[in-house]
Amino acid sequence: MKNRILILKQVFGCLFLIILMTGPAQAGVASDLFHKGVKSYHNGDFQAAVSAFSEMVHRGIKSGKLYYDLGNAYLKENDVGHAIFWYQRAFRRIPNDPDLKFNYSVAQSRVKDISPDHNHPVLKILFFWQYLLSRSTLQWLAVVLNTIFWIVLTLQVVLRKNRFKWVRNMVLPALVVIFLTASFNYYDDAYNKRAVIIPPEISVRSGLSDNATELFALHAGSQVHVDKEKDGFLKIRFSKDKIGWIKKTDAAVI
Amino acid sequence: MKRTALIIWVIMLFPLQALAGDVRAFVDRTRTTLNETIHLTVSVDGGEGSVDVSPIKDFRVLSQGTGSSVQIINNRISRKSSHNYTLMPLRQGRLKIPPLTVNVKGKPFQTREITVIVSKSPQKNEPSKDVFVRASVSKKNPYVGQQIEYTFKLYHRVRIANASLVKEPAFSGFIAKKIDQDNTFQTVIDGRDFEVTQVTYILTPTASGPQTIEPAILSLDIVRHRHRRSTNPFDSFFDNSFFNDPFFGNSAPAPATLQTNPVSVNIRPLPPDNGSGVFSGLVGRFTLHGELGKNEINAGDSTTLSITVEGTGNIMDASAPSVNVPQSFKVYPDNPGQDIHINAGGYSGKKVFRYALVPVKKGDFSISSVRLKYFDTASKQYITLSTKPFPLKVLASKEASKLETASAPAKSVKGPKSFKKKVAFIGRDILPIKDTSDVLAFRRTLPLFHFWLYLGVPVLVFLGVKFAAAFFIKKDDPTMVMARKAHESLKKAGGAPSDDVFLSALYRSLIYAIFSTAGSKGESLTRAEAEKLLANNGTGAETAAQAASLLDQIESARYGGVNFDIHAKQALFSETQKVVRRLC
Repeated sequence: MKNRILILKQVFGCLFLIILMTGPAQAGVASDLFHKGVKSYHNGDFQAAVSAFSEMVHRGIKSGKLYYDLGNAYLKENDVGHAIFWYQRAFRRIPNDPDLKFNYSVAQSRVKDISPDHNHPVLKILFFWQYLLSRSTLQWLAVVLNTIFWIVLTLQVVLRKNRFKWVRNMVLPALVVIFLTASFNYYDDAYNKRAVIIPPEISVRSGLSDNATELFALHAGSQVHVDKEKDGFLKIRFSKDKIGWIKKTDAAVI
Repeated sequence: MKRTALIIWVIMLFPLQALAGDVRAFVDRTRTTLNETIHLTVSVDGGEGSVDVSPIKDFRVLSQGTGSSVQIINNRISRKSSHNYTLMPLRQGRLKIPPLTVNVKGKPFQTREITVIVSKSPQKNEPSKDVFVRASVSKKNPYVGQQIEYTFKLYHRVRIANASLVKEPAFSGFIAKKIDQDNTFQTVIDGRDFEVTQVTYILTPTASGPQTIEPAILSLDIVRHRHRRSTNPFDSFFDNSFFNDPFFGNSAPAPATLQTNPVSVNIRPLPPDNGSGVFSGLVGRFTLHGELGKNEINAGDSTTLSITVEGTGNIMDASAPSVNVPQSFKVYPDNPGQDIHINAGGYSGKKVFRYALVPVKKGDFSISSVRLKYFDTASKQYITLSTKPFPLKVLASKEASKLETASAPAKSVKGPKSFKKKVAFIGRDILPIKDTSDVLAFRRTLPLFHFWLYLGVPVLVFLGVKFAAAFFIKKDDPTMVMARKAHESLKKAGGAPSDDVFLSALYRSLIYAIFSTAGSKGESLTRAEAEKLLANNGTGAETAAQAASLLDQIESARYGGVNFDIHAKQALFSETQKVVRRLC
């Protein structure tokens, strides 16, 4: 029994050491990659910048600003599809960044297909917080407001007095709105997938084969809704009346 | 046997020979030179036919139309049509006119092959001819954009008629403009007098490199005398130019086709522009002149700046030169006026650009000189023309007070005309990357499970505390007892049948609430005691004062016999309810 405990102690000790050692090491590698990417970008070697920034993403750096930089590097490489893809990902983390909005509009101006506007301006006004706060901010805000609300209620029980009622009344509406928004985002991520067309031009076909009838063509940077995935093909919806199948490799799901 | 076979062979062959004789092709001569043309005639006896001349590859073929005739011989009517073509040899040597297919009434017939011997053209002997054409350009090595003249000349010392350019050169690589007026003059070549008809085109090269202007082709009728051998003394009278006119049947027109020599031009690119300033694109010789309408105006008024570009060259391509004015000026360009004409020297004339200048501030200003850079074909270098600067004194506006008011934020005041312009993009590029270290910092999104977990934990804590409170806190705790009694009394007051019961219930509710804050029990309090209790237990001064005041009001009504109307009763109840809820 003692031996087992000793072995367990050793295993956990090793794991702890590995975590301690790999943490700073990962940070160092990421920092080196970032400086390499920035340097390449400034030297005009956008391909190298793309490689460095992509490597950072693969190493788990999920920063909106990094996505923005990656989008910039792709756009400088005239790869509009990847640029739009990474800008869209950046929007989920830094939706109110003015540089991102500007560069996204530049990238959008290079997309050949006229996209149906899914984001109605009225919705942007009614649900303005959705376009101001990132998904993670909304999630954490919901958690914090929820905690405050229940702490107030708990204090009222403990103190047996109806104090901090104003705090409770202020927090509750904000908590409801933020909670519903965060929940909607989870639903949106799970059931409303969107993708960006990557190659310069693709054919959208009526079926799951290269011989199926070509219905219409889409170009790099166009955004589509993904309704279904089957046998290496995606059933996509560009607009209400434009639906078809494309190869999975022709689009990147945001 | 042999005789029979021969007879059958002749019978079979006869129709073929007859058909072959129906369609034939012939030329006016079988020897010619490169600069001369020959006439091909395809005749069809017995009807109309269509001729396919596409097999002719060694000649350029020009159709000269068709003709038909009817003959009556021995009371038999026969019809004959002829198709006429002018052939221009494309090279020297033994050139062939291959058999041509003629379709007559759906049946194909073929002509015989004709061989024509073409020798090199004796250019130097042209003047020895009575009629010839020449083409030339004024400059063999022009620059891109530099105008040159292409001249087509018809020399003749015999009477000609019906002269027309069958084919003008394509002038590929040039912008060509024909000068409307043809020029006719006399000249002497090798002692022989020629009349010359000249057609001129102005050519503007559009790209550098060697270019060849294709030959121009002219068709005409040469009118020659009929030589009559007669001893009639009146013949000499009729043998003059007047009676030699074809009208009198004394001369015979002979159709002819002439072509010029191809003209090679080597177009040079413009030399690199290493100087400062922007090249306007003008090539030629130009002058620049500027004039300001007024030298002294009031702020808000306008004056006109006129810039005149004048000269010879591609003046029609002149665009408005940029005018730099002080910041406090607004510039409104007007449509340019132009007076451009074309003559033998090319395009020349002037273009006038006008700008309305409106100062918005008073002061002494100077409008910078206007510059124009062009390529001078004479000196073969870029030349920058410049006007003089334009001094302008701007006096205070007659509507100065309105100007000041217009700058105030009040929107209702109508000021002078606004000079604001919408800001437009000049270039388009993306903003730079984010290269600060915070790019590496990010907040992880919560997985759905963690999100629900973090939301649920405070709820569980609350429920736990609530449960513990219900379990551990004594039921006879004065705070709770008094609070419960306060709410019960308040509820009783809400449904009280009379004023006395109502006021009594309100009073008790308030008293119980005050005792609840103190954690003690009781049934009655004076105003002073109530204030003291509330102050000692941390209740806010405002709430304490409100509770004491309410206590006074209820006691006064209760013991003073005040009659309540429904509104006053409701107001007192609401106020008491608020205070009680605030206290416990």
